[in-house]
Amino acid sequence: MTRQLAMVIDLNKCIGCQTCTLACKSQWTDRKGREFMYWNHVETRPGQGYPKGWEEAGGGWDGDVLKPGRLPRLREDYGIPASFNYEQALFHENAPALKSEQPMQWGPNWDEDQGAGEYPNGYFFYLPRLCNHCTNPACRAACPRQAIYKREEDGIVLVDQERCRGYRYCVAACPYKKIYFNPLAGKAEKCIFCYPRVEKGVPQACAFQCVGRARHVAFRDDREGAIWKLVEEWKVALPLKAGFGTQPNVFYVPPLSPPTFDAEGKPTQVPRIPDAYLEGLFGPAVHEVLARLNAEIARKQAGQTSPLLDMLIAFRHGNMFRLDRLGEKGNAA
Amino acid sequence: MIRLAALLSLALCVGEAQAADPLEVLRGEGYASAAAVVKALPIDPKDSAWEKAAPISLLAYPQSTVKPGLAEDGAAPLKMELRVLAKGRELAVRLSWPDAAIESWRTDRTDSFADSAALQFALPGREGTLPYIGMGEPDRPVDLWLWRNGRETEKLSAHGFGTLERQPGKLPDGDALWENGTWQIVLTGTIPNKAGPLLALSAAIWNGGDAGRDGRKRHTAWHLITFPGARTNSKVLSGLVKEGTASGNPERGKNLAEEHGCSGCHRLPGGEPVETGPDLTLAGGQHWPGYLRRSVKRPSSFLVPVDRFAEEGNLTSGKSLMPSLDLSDQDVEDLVAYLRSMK
Ligand code: HEC
Repeated sequence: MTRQLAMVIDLNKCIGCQTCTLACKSQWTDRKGREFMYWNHVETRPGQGYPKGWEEAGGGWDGDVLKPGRLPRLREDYGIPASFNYEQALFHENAPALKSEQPMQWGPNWDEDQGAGEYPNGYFFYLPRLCNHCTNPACRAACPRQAIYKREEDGIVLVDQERCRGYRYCVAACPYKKIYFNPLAGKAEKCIFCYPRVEKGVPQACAFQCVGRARHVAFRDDREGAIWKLVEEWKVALPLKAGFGTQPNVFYVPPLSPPTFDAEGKPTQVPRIPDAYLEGLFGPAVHEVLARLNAEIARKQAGQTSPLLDMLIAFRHGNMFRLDRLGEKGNAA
Repeated sequence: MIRLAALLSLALCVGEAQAADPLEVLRGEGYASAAAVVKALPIDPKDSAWEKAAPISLLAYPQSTVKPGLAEDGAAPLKMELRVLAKGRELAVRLSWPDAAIESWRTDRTDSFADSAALQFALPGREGTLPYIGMGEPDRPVDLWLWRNGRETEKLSAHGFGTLERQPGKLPDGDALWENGTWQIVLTGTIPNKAGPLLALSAAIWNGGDAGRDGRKRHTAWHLITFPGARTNSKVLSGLVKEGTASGNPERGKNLAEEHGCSGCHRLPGGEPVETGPDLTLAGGQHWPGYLRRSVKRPSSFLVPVDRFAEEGNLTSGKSLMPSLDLSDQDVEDLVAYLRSMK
């Protein structure tokens, strides 16, 4: 049986600083046809996301049949990184303003902090996204060459670069659009869940560098690990868009939000982020989860203990990660 | 009549194939052509040396066995022309086919595909058997030269779906010209394997504009290329002639197909789009007659490598869903003649 390494991201702690994004990019995707690729990124919700409109791009499962999907376009949907006139703008007197040398129409994080809603009830939150290392990966099923595989020891989904011939059925099939085509290499590439680090007991760069202590990592069957506790025991972490049918192994603690104001400017009982919007992302269980989180917060405020909140607070950074393959030792961090 | 005469002459001189050229029959059927020998192989599609090579007209049929293919888009066959020149163990092939627009490999796009073409080579087995047209078979490998517009050529080999692998050694040279809605590409290199005096060749083309890659292609059936003056083992020759001809009665074959319920599993001309077995509506154009004969006679001798075509929905069962039918030799010939008419 495949053991599965998994991640929980607490959206109440994500501040959208993109430290995870850069930790990932500088480690894995900073050159050679990967400039546009973000194996990990943080998008503002509501928003078009990255690649643009990924939710409507198709893919995933309809029962046991793959749904058709669309290939994102480099310029229009991912965005081509622009170059800037640094030479002229930064080193001379009376220099022209710093600006991009190509017209820019779209890029990752283009609609950052835009969100939705009217003043004073505008709202948004951050959604970090990476490959979900799904239990039933559509990318793997779509590949006619069996170039995509899932490792027995940790369930990490990888593309065998020797076998890949750049057909891109996987890109169309992934409903999260978290598998990319490298047009220089002519092959598909994706998040590798930092397996070379994981094999040494070091957490993924995105999780380890997270300044908000928002990411927990453990094996799903490790009862002492945060994933078991948050997903199975306390049931406060949910997969993104479970309806795609791929069974993701990245889970999210959904975001609470401050109350809306009524016409007199008084706070109401209604949260800013509409329940229906969250339901669209995390499914109907999101309502119970938010209620449970609110109840735990109330307990803490009343001076009682809450092991759940203590775990989410993550007093000790090292306690957020349990990567030991045998599930015996704590962690190496 | 000509066909019969040639067969007869073959029967009369078993073991001394040089007496008459048994391949004349296959040339007559449009299954074989001779390469022209030249002193220097051209790379330019416009080189006058190409005039020395006789044009080989072939139809490239939409791939219809695995999905995604082109047949489900209702794609029509395309006319191709091949010319083959030889110099020792080196070969130059010029392929031409119509394509309304140029698509090239783009490093600034993630959603575009390049116009491409490939040549597939195989050697006939000792009995003159040729491999399955789709990437060969486990014990009948194929070699390939691939051209993608704007990319380096590739030298590959395969022995079944999903087994395509790059081969070491010098890459084939390629040159391409697109003019007035027609591609003319030249691929030249050393003949793969220990190619004897005879080589089976097929071509595949992908249209970048149709998101062409993998199975979204058109391909020809095997075509035999002979090299003037070269001697071929007489057993191989007589095997090839047997494989490449079908003396049956297609009308009777059609009736037999109805009797045996072939259309319960296969799409046949004018029939329902059933998908238990491969679509056979273009089988005569896509396959070498010998392969059709093998498929009808011994369905499990080679399994088209798609799980749903095998027992238990799994290729590891090694058994085709297609039943082994109790057919007389004449029945088989009639069915093959019927299948061959589907193009
Ligand atoms: C029970 C279903 C079934 C029936 C009935 C059946 N076939 Fe098949 N046939 C298959 C399957 C499945 C395959 C593909 C697997 C294989 O290679 O054997 C196949 C393969 C073939 C092929 C090779 C096609 C290719 O694309 O490679 C031919 C030709 C063929 N069948 C002809 C016939 C004829 C003629 C009949 C009737 C006499 C017939 N079949 C009856 C299921 C069937």
